[in-house]
Amino acid sequence: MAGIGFELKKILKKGTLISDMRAFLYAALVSSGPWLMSIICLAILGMYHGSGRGLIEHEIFRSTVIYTYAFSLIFVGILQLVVTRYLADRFYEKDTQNTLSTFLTCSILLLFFGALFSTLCYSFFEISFLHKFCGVVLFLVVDMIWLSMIFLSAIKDYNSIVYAFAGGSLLSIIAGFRLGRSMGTEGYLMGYLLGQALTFFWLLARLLKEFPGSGLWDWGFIVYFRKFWDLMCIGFAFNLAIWVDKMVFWVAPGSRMIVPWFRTNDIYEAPIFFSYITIVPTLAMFLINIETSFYEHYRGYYGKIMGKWNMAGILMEKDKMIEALRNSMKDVFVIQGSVTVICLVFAPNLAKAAGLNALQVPLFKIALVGSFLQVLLALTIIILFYFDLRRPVLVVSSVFLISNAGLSYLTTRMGFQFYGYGYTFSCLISLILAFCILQDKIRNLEYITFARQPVV
Amino acid sequence: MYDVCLMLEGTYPFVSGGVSTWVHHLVKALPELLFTGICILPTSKEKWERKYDLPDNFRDLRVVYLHDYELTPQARVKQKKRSRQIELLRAFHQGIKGKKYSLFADILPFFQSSKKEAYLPYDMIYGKDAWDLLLEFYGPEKNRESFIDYFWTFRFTHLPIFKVLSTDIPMAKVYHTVSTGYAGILGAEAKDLYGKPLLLTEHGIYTKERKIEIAQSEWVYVADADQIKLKKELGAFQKIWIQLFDSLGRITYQEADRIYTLYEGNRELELAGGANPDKVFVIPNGVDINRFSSLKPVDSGDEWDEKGAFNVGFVGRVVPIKDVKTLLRAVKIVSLRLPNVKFHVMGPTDENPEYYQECLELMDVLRLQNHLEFTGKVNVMDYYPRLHLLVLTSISEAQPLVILEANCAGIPVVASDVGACRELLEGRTEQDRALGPSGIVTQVADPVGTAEGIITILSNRELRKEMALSGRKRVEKFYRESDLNREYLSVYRELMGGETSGHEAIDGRHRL
Repeated sequence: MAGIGFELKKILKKGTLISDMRAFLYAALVSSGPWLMSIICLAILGMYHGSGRGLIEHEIFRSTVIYTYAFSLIFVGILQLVVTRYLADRFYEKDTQNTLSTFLTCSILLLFFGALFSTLCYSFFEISFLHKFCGVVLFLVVDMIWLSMIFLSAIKDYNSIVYAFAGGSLLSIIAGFRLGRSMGTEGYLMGYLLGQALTFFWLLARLLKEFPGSGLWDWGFIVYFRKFWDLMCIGFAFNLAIWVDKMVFWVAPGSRMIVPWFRTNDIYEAPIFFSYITIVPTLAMFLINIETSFYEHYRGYYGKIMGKWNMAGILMEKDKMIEALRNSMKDVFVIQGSVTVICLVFAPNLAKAAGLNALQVPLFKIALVGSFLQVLLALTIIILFYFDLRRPVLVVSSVFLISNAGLSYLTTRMGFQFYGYGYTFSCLISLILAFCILQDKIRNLEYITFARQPVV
Repeated sequence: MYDVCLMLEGTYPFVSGGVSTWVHHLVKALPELLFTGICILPTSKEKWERKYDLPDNFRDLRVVYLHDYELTPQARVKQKKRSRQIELLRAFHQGIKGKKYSLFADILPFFQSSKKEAYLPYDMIYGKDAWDLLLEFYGPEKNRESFIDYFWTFRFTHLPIFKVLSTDIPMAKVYHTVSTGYAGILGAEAKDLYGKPLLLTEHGIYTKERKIEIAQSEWVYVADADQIKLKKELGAFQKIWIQLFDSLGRITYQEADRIYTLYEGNRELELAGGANPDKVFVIPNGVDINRFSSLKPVDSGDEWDEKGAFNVGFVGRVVPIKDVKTLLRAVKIVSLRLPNVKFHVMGPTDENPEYYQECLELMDVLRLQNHLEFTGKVNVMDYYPRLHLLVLTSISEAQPLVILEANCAGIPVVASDVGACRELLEGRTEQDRALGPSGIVTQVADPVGTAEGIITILSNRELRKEMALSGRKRVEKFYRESDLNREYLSVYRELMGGETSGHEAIDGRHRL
C-alpha cells in the first residue's frame, strides 16, 4: 500500500492561544502608586523648607530626588515589561520554582549597570562626595524598589506594598526633617534614603518569604530579552516619554541651574507633578472595572475559541467583551472627567494650597487635562497588551515620546502662556492613535489571534 | 533528461512493502531506461533508511517531507493582482464542490517559488485575504461546527499540498505516479508544467484506503461522537479530509494519460472515483518464476516435516490492515484440531509497535506460544521450501504478490476475499478458471472460516497436490514478471513517442 495519509495526530495537539496578560495591568497600576506617594512625600518636605541657604539646600535635595525618580523609572523601564511578561508566562505555566533566581538575575543587572550609570553621571556634578555617594545609593535603592514592586505585583500582594510605602515614606519625612535641619542637603538626603531603604527591605523580606528558588542566574529570563525586544523598547520609550517634557523644560529658557548639573524649571515642574495626583481615582476604578466585567468576557472569548465553539458563538462573546470594555472606558471618562472638571473649576484654590503661584494656574489647568489624557492613554495601552499587540504599543510609545519631546520644545520657544500644551497635545495625539489602533485590532481580533499561530 | 520520473508517496525505497518491491523490480527489469524519482515522506524528524539498493538506472532520488513546512514571506504584490489570485482560488474551491477541477493548471504558478510574483503559500497561511476566504468557506452565519478545528483542519489540509506543489520537479519524458494522493497531484503538476505525459499505476485504491483510515481515526474532532455512531455518519471534519483525498484522486485521474491497475475490482473503483473508462487498463503484478518454481519438488506430496508438523506461513507486515489478530484466533481453532501445525508470521513488526504489542498479548491470552512465531523481517525464500500452506487475512489488499510467490512455489493459499485474492486463487478469465483453484477464499475477519480453510487443505493430501499444481500453472501462464514488465516498457515507449531513451544514449557513449 502506497501513501502517507496523515500522521498529523501529534502535530494537531496545539498549545495555548494566549497566556494571561493581566500582569501588565497590575504592573502599571502598582508602579504608579509609589510614584504618586513620592510626589506627596516631596510636597510635604517642601512645605517646610526655610529660606536663604536653607532654601538652596532643600532645592538641591529636591532635585536629587526628582532626578533619581526620573532616571530610575526610565532605567528600570528597560526591563520592567520584559520581567512582567516573563513572570506572567512562568506563573501561567505554574512554574514558580525559579522566581527568586529571576529576581536575583534582575538585581545583578540593575545594580551593576545602575551603579555604573549613576556613578558616571554624578562624577560631573559639583556636589560633595557624601552627596554623590548618597545619590548613587538612593538611585540603586529606588531601582530595587521598582523591581520588587514588579515581582510583588505578580503575586498581587497590595497590602504589603501599601504598608512598606507608608512606613518608608513616614520614616523618609521624619528622618529627612531631623537630619536636614542639622546637616543640610546631605542630611535631607540621608534621612530620605533611610526611609526608602526601609521600604525596600520591607518589600524584599516579603519577596524572600514568598518565593523559593536557588541559583543566582536565570538564563531563561535572559533569552526573553531577545524574544521580547519590543517590550524592552516599549518600557524604555514610554517611561522616557513621560519624562521627556520635564527634561526639555530643564534646559528651556527660564530654567536655571541650582548647582551643576542639577537643573530645574520653577514654572513648569510643580504644576505637572501636582496634576498627576488627580488620576488616583481612575487607576483604582479601572482596576476594579476591568477585573470584573471586561476580564470575564475576555476570558470567555478565548475560552470559547479554545472550547470548540462555532464562529457565531465566538463573535457573540466578543460583542460582550467590547461592550464591557466600552462601559469601563465610559465610566473612566465620566468619573475622571468629573474629577478633572472639578479640579479645573477649583484650580486657583488648589494651586494656592499646593504652594503654586498665580502665574502657574493656567499651566496647572492644562496639565490637569494632560494628566486626564495620559491616564486614558495608559489604560488603552494596557488593553492593547491584553491582546498581546506589542508592535502597535511600540508605535504608540514612540509617537508619544517623539511628539512630547517635539511639541514641548516648540512650546518653550513660543512663550510661557503655551507651557503645558505640548505635553497635553502629545497625550491627545498618542491617545487618538492608540484608540484607533485598538478599534482596528479588535475588529480583526480573530484574524490576529489565529494568523499569529505558528504552523509547526 | 530522465526517461521516467516516478512519484512515490511513503514507499520505495524507504518503506518496504508490495508497491516498493514492484517498483524495485520494474526499474531493474528495464535497464534500457533511465529512472529518477521523488519520494514523499511525512517528516525529516523521523529517520528514514533505504530498504532497497537503488539499481544503476535509478538516479538522483529526491525526497520531499510533507509535514516539514518552510514558509517564507514573499515579495509584496499589488493588491489588484492578489485579489485576482484570491478570486481564482475561490473559483477553484467552488469547482471542487461540483467535482470540477479544470482550474488546477491555473493555480499551479502560485506554488512555484521561482515565480516570485505569484508565489502564495505564506499569504495563504498568514494573510488577511486568505483569512477572509477561510471565513467565507466556513460560513459563520450558518456553520455550527467548532471554528478552531475548522481553522486547524484548513491549515493541515492545505500545508502538505502547498509543500508538495512547491517541489522542484526534474525534467523527464514520462511521469509515472504510483498512487493518487499527494504523489498524484505532483505528477499532475509535472504534466501541466512540462507538457509531458503522466502515467498512473494504482495498486491499492488510495482514496478508498484514506476513507477507511479517516472513518476510523479518533483524532479528527467529531462533535458528539456517540450520536455519530448511531447515525453512521461522518463528522464535518472527517468529511473535509475525505473530500480532500477524493479531490487529489480526481485531479490525478483527470490529468493522467493512462491509468493502470492490478485487477478488475480496482478498475471499477477507479471508474467510480472519476476516472475515464477509456484510460483505465489492468496489468497485474507478476513474479520471477525462476526464483520460486524450483524451491520445492514439483510432485511433492507434502507430508509432515521431519518434526512431524505442518508449517503454515503468513507473509506481511504486522499492522492492523493485515488483520493479524484474525490469524491468531484462527490458529487457536486449528491448534485444537491439528496440534502439530506451526505458524510463522514473516514480516517486520516495527512499523506499528502498538499493534504488535497487542498481537503479542493476544498470543499470550490464547496460549499460542508453541504454535506460532513472529519471525520479524526475514528472507521468505528460506521458509517457502518448508511451507505446506500460506494464509492471508488482510482487510484490504490489492493484488498480493505473496499469493503468486507461494503458488509459484507450489504452496496452496487460504486468503480473505479482498482485492484480487479470488482472481488469483480461482482464476480471472474463463481460460484461467479452467486451471482449477489453487487455494481457498474466506470471508474477511472470519477466524472460523480461515481455520476451516486451513484444516481442509492440511488434512487432504490429494487436494494439496492438486492445488499446488494449478497454482504453478496459473502463475507461469498469466503472471510471469518479465512479460508484464515488458508491457510497461512498451507503454513508456509509446508515451515517449518513439524517442530514444537517455540511458541508451549514455550507454552508446560508453561503448564509443
